[in-house]
Amino acid sequence: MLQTFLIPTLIILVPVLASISGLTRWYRHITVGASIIDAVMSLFLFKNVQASFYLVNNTTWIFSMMIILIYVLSALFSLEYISSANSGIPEGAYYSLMNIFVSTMLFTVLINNYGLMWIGIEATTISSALLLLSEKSQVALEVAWRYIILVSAGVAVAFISIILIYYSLGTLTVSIALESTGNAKVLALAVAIALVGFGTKVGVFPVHTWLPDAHSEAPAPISAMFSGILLPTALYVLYMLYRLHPLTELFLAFGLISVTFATAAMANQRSFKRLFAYSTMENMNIALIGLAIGGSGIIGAILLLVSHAFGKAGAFYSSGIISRKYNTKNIDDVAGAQGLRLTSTALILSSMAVTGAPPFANFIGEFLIITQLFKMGLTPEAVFLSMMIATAFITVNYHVTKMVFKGKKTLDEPKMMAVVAIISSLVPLVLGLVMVI
Amino acid sequence: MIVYFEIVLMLVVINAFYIQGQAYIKPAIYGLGVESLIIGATIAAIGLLQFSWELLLLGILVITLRAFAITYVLDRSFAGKSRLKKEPTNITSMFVIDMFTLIFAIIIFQFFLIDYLKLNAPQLLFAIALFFQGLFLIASRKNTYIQVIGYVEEENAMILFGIFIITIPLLIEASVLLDVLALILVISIVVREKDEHLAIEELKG
Repeated sequence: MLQTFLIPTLIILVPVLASISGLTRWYRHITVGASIIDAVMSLFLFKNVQASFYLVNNTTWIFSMMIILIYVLSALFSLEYISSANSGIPEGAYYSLMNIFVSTMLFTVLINNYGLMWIGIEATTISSALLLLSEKSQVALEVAWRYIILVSAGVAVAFISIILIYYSLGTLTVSIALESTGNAKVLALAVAIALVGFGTKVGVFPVHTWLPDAHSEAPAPISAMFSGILLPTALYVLYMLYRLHPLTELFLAFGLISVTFATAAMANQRSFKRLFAYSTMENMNIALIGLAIGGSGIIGAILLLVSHAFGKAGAFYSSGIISRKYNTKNIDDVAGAQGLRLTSTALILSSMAVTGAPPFANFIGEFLIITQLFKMGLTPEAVFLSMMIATAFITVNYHVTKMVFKGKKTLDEPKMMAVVAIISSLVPLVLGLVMVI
Repeated sequence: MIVYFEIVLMLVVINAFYIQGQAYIKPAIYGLGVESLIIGATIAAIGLLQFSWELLLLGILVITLRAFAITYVLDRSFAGKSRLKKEPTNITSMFVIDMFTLIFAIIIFQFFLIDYLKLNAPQLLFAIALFFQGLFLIASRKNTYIQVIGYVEEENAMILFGIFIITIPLLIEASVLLDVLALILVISIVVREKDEHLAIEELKG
C-alpha cells in the first residue's frame, strides 16, 4: 500500500501543496523545499514496479526523476531570476503555477490510464500558459495566446484517439491495453491521430508552430522546463499510444521531416533562444525516431531525452543570464560573453551537449539510434539523419562560439544562477563519461 | 426517435453556421451557449430513454459547465469591452468556405468511418461536421474570442463523437469538462488583455 499508492500520490501532491505557499511570504523557500522532498521521495519508486492506479516501471521512474530534478534546478534558478519588479504576474503566482505545472507532468507520466494521461497533458497547458506572461510584454501575450489555442486545438484532436482506443479495446488502463488485441484498423487510426494530436505538444512538423515562440518568450527557468521536461512528457504519452499499434514508417517519416525542418530553421535564426527552441524540436524528433524503430533505439531515445533535459536546461539558464545582462535575445548583439566566466562555460558545455558532441551522453543516445537504423537496413535514413545532426551541430556551435569569444566585455555575474546553469550543463558530460567508462 | 435526434443534431450544425456568420462577438458567444445546451439536452434525453444515469449526469454536466459556466465566463470577460464589438470579415466568402468544410466532413465520414472502420453510426457525421467547423473558425478569424468559440466547438464535437461511438467512463468525461472550463478561465485572463491575434516581427522565423 505504502509503495504502490502512497508514494506516487505524495510525489504528485507535494508540489500541489507547495503551490498554496503562493499565498504566504515563504513561497520561494517552500518551492525549493518541495522540489527536494519530491526528489528524495522519488528514490523510493526505484525498482518498485507496479501497474495498478499508477504505472511505475524503469521508464516512468526515469521520466519522474527527470521532471523532479529539473524542477529542483528551475526552483533554485528562479530564486534570483524572478522578481515582481520585472514580472508580468505576481511572484507568488509564478511559484504557485510552477508547482502545479510540475504536478500535472508527474501525474501524466505516473498515471495508468490513457484518458487521464490526456487530461494531464491538457492540464499542463492550463498551468503553464500564464507562466508565459512572466515576461511583461505584448509579445508575451501574443505567445501565450498562440500557445493556448494551438496546443489546446491539437490536443483536442488527440481525444479522438482516446475514444477509438476505448472503442477497440474496451479499456483505457495502459497496462491492460498494452497486452490486449483489438481491431487493427481502429488502433492504426487512433495511433495516426495521436501523432497529429499529441505531436502538437511534442513539436512534430507541421503542428509545432507554438514551440519556438513559447520557448523564446518564456522566462529562462520555464523555457528550461518546457524544453527539458514538458515535451518529453508529451512524447512519453505519444509513445505509450504508439505501442498499441506501431506505425513505424509513419513515425519515422514525420520524425525525419521534423528534424530536417528544425535544422533548416536553426540556420536562419537571429535570436539565440529561438535557436535553442528549434534545437529542442530537432532532439525531440530524433528521440521520436528512436522510440519508433525500437531495439537499441529505445535506449538511445531515453538516454537522449535525459541528457537533453539537463543540457537544454543549462542552455536556457545561461541564455537567460545573457539576455538579462545584454538586454537582448539577438545573437549579433551579444559579444564577449566570456566576460561572464561561469555562464559562458555553461553555455558552451550545454550547446555541445544538445548538439550531440562526444563524450556527452546525447552523443551516445544519437549513436544508438543511428546504429539501430543501420541494423534495420534503413541506410539512407541513417545517413540523412547523421547529416542533419552534423548540420545542427555546426549551426548552434558557430553561433554560440561567436557570442562567447567575439570581443571581451566585463560584466557582473549572478553567482547562484551561473552555478545552477553549470551544474545542469555538466550532467550530460558526467552521464556520458560514466557510460563510456 | 433516432430521426428526432438527427434533426436536433442538424440544428447543432446549423447553429455552427450561425456562429461562423456572426460579425459581432456577443451573438457568437450566445450561439455557443445554445449549441452546448442542445448537445447537453440531447445527451440527457438519450440517458433518460436508455435508463443510463451516467449519460443523464453527463448531459446535466454539459448543460451546467459548457452551456452556462463557459458562456458566463466568456460573457463576463467580454463585458468590459464595447458591447457591439465587430470583427471586419467577409461573411459571404466565409459561408461558402464553411460549406466546403461541411463537404470535407462528409468525405472524411464516408471514407474513414463508413468504408474503412465500418462504423454504423450516422450521427457521427454531425460530430465530424462540428469538429471541422470549429477548426475552421479558429483558422479563419483573428479575433481571440471567436477563436475560443471555435475551440469549444471542437470540444463539443468530441463529446458527440464519444457518445455515438462508445460512452467514455464518466470520470474521464467529467474531468475533460472541468479541464476545458479551467482552460477557458485561463484564456479569459489572456483575452482580456489581448483582443486580436497579430503578426509580430520578433516571432517570425
